[in-house]
Amino acid sequence: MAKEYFPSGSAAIVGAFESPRRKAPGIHPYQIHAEVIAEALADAGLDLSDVDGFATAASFPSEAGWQLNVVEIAEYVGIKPSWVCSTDIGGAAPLSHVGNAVAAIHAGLCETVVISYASSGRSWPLPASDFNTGQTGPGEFEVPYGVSTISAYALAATRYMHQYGLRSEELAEIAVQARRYAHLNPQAMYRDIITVDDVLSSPMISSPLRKLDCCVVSDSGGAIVVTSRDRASDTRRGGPSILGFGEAISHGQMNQMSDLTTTCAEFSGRRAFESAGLTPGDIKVAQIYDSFTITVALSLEALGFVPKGEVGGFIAGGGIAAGGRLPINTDGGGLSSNHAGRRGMFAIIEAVRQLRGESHGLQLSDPELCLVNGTGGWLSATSTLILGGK
Amino acid sequence: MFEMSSVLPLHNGLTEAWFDAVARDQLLIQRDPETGRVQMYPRARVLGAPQREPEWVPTSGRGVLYSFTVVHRSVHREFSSLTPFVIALVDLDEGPRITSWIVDTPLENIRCDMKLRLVFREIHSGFKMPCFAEA
Repeated sequence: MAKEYFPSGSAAIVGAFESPRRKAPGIHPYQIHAEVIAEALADAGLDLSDVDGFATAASFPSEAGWQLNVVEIAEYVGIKPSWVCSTDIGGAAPLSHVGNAVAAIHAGLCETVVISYASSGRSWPLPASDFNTGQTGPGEFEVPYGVSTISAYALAATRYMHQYGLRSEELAEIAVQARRYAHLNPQAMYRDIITVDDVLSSPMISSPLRKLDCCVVSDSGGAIVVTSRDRASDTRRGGPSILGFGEAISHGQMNQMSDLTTTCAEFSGRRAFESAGLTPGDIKVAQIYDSFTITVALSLEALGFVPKGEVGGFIAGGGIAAGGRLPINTDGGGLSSNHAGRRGMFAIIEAVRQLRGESHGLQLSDPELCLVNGTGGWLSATSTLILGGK
Repeated sequence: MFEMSSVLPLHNGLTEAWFDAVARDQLLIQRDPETGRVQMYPRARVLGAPQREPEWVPTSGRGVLYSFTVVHRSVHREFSSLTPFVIALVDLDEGPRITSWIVDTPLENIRCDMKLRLVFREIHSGFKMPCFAEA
């Protein structure tokens, strides 16, 4: 029985669009916001005048975010919302925007919400942030040692491999699998098939993570439209309902993360399953945030798809392969297709496409449900959605 | 969030005391005077109990390596010239976990759960921080 803290099934994603852009030198991120919002609304058969709710997060330099970025982007596009949200938990933020939009629509604060995301992670001339936090306050005790985002995930990988015997070959298989699906996706940033040996011979960045254990860096964006289940029937195509939602935060500094072998998807995932009245066994396809190969490994266990400590065998046994227990990141994921800074938006869009029978990569035969799990920051926060129905 | 011209910490009134101790080759942590529970990084108030102020206490300098990564590539100019260097999460015997570097230790000897001893090293020009070596 579904838990009542989330209005399961009360709203649907009726429009979705992922920018085909991957390299966009000279393009301001707000241009991409306008492009993807227009296309997502066209997909839904709605106009901007139908929109009374708006959510985005754009605090990264590559997103051109300064202060009040949700205000500035609404202004740029011309949205006058009665409900606004800019929850900023890194790459998981778009999932939280969806969950909170459903609650807002259910509460009557708004009726139709646009959620957008855009970033010129690759080409925008603004410099990228180098470290996880500033060097004042909590960061005084971590930044001087040079803990970058990659190093943070590498620390988790080292500990997990030590504790559970996961091998680099098994981690590499996650990247290889992503590329197989990207090979099917004409829009994917990298499409050439790679092997485990290719991953293991790519340059070491921060041990044990090598270049091909890391996601692509793109310039791109995406948008989705969320409205009430009742109103969804008036849209051009309808779309999957939001059945379950959970979000959780863990830590800002790596020295505050108590167990580096799991993520707070243990909590957000449980909330998502409980609110949907479902269990991991019900899910046959998922979009699992893949900033790095280790992100996938930890998330599969935290979400309850694989018993603790056994993810290496699950991957080696074809668990995430086509025809396996749980194909994931069917568009090629962040590891091969698209990651401009907050992969969560693209993971949601691929889930919608999967449920509509329009995956850009591996399309499963008529899936009923798709789980989406976002991981923000340096394993800092997670947000989980379960989508399904038509 | 823009590229930092320096990676050296900008202290505040509270953290100044911790860095002053480092300058004297001391690693301080904080303790809740009521429960005895220890905490790091330093905070103005007791973690989870903001009605109380913690007190400074010294550490033994002994710890265990929880995890580490050998950084081979860094995009920041302050670190790109230092590679390879070893970032570590160290569990102090007193309880708290801190971020640090492993130094004076052959890379092939570094393992999770190994015992460590505290040393102080100038990790940036003129800037000393606690580091650890194999015990």
